[in-house]
Amino acid sequence: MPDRGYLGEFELMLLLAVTHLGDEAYGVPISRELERQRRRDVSVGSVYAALERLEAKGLVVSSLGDPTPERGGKAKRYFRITQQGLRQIHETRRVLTRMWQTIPEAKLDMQLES
Amino acid sequence: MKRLEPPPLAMWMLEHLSSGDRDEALAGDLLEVFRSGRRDSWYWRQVCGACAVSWFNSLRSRIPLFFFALAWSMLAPAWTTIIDRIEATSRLYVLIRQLEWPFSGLSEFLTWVGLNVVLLWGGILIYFLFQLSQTRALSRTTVRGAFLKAAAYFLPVYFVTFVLANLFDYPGLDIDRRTLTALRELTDLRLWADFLRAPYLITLICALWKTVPRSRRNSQLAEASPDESGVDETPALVNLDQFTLTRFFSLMAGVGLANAMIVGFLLCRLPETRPSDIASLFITAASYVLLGTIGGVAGSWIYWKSPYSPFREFTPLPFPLFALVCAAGWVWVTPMVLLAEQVSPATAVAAMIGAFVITTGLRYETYPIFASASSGSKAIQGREGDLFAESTYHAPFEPHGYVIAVGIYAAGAALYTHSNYAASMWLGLSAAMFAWKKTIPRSQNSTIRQAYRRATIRLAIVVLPAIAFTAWAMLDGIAHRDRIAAERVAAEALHSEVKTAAPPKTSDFGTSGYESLILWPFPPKKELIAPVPLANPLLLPGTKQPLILRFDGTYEYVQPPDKHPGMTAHRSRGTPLHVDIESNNNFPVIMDAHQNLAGPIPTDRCSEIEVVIENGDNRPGLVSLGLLLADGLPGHERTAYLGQQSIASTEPGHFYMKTSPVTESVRFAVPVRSKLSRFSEITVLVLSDTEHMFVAPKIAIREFRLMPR
Repeated sequence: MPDRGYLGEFELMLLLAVTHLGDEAYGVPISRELERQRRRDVSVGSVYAALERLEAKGLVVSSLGDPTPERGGKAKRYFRITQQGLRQIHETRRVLTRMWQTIPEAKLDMQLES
Repeated sequence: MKRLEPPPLAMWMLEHLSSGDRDEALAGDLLEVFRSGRRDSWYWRQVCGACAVSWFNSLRSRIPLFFFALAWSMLAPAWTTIIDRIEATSRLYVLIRQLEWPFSGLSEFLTWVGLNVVLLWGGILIYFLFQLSQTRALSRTTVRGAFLKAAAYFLPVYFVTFVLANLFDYPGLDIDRRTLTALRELTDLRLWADFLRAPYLITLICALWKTVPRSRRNSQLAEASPDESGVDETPALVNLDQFTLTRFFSLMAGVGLANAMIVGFLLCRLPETRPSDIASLFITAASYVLLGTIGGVAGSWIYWKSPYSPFREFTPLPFPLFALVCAAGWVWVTPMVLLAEQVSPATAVAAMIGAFVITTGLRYETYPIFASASSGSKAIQGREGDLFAESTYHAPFEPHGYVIAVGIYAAGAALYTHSNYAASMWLGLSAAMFAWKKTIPRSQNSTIRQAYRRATIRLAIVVLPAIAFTAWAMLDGIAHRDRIAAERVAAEALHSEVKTAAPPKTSDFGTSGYESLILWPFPPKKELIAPVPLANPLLLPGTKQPLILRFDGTYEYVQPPDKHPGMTAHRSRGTPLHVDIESNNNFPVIMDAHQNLAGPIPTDRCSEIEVVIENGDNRPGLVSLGLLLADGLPGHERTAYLGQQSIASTEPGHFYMKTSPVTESVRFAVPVRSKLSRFSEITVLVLSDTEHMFVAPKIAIREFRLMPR
């Protein structure tokens, strides 16, 4: 049985991005997706470091594609989410949703105004 | 206008200063984005960020390596002290220094490098064993590369450290290394000790840097089984029969045991002096236990991985788990060896505990493997049995119970005759068989992780008692050795004081036991021929008749390391035929008979000496006699040993129970040319086998017959 550790914010975003991109999930689209959603610059090196952490946990797997001329003959590294990664996403969402539901709307609005 | 190529220096940095795992993909991604219209500054930021993240991750994944290298390099000053001692006392260095220059210098230098590399290799070996215990795969190339790098890097790193140390404090740190001890150096935190540790620390980190597993392996595993992401903890099981499994595990455990014993015999010695405090005693004991265990693990690993091993590729049990289980038994080997050297019956106890612990652990962890191996054959038996249903109950035949009982009785008999190794073997066998038959795991569906946890707990439980047992064995051995040495010194001192005075005829020392014993024969009823008349015609030229000397000397009984009875020896009248003399401790009894002659006899006149004995010994076992002649000249006494001859009636096949002493003779040829021209003392050495090791044989000397030449 794997450890049931919850995902960090950046890791959760990465997993969601990989899931969203499907077969086209490699470094550039993943970074762009994150930049688009977060509306700020992302370090590609940090993206790779986090993806490797997720890979070590067994939440994603990677495979090298064919080299292309526009990349200087360098291959793309495609990432794919595993069943365990999907379970982890659902578990994190379930916990977050439950916690959100315990907080009244009015209280949140009051905090924002202050 | 879009630029096609990013800054060359940034590309070089990305290629050479970041982790190798993602160079290609990351470089391609950055290039792709850069060509889509990004600026140089963006590329520089990305490259610097990638390098920083890469190094951070790389260093973080090597934190265990840093801690291990730091811990292992703490041993360096102690190891240097040991090397200093080896250089000062080893015969190898004496031989090396006798060589001609430059071979002597070169050999000494290479030996020094080799001794230093031994410490590094020991560390690397332990690090790899730890990695294997974490079920991390290691390629042969990686392992070989680490060992070679350690040997190659050490000298340059040591040289640089040496230069820096001298630059820091020229002409070197003022340390008197002759006063240092290895144990104290373990905790030495002075500057010079840290300078010694530095090259070992750096070399270990450099040699093991590439051995840290990289994340690419995870992806390859994941590709093989994407759904389970490569997490498979079940060991590879193969379809094996019980006999093969039993033979395999017995061989591996036995090989480890033998290697642990070899290491114990070679390396685990009693300290020269009594340990100054309890901590140093326990540290020494713990290091001995560790050495024995490492020897056992290394020995079984070699056979486990040998080309002839049937489980080299598909092992029924991971080797680290097997080693962890057996280590709980191998920790008892060192105290067993120490006690065996003292001829202590506790040897058998240590053997019994070790065998029991090993077998219990192996049975527990291999139970499912044996169950699956036997399930096939049992299924076949069941189908056959369906045809002929049994109507009567048959009691199960359990021969192991008889074997255990016989083993215990045999061990008792062996202990009675002081055969401690035989007793150890029998008790160990009985304990192992009992443990194998009576151990049934509570849960047969445990995971490999639980098995590791159980084995670790088992080892943790037994290791402290084993160290305490070793410490006790050391203390016991040191105390015994010191007592013998003190008695010898006291006896010699007393002997030198009373040398001028007449020796006492009797002694009142001791009431229940004696350190040595002198037995005088009863006064003869007839006139003795000895001492030899100087003008004896029988030894004159032309004489054919032998000269017969009736024995009227003393029988001396001592225990090693003594060679002669001290002044406190008990003196008594009697003959060996009628007295029972045996050891009341763990040291054997040595017996000899000594005859002084009144005058010297030329050796060139005597061709042969026949020793006539009376043998009343009814204990089986070979007994031989050795003959030693001496000229008895004070100050520069010369001796000649005429060899040893066995007593015919004690030889295998000729032994029989005697109702009364039988007369036998043993002949010794006297060489014509000898450094001994004449002799005036005859000593008969009674040389016995293990059966008579602790009990003196009942053999008396009747006379000597000197044959003229």
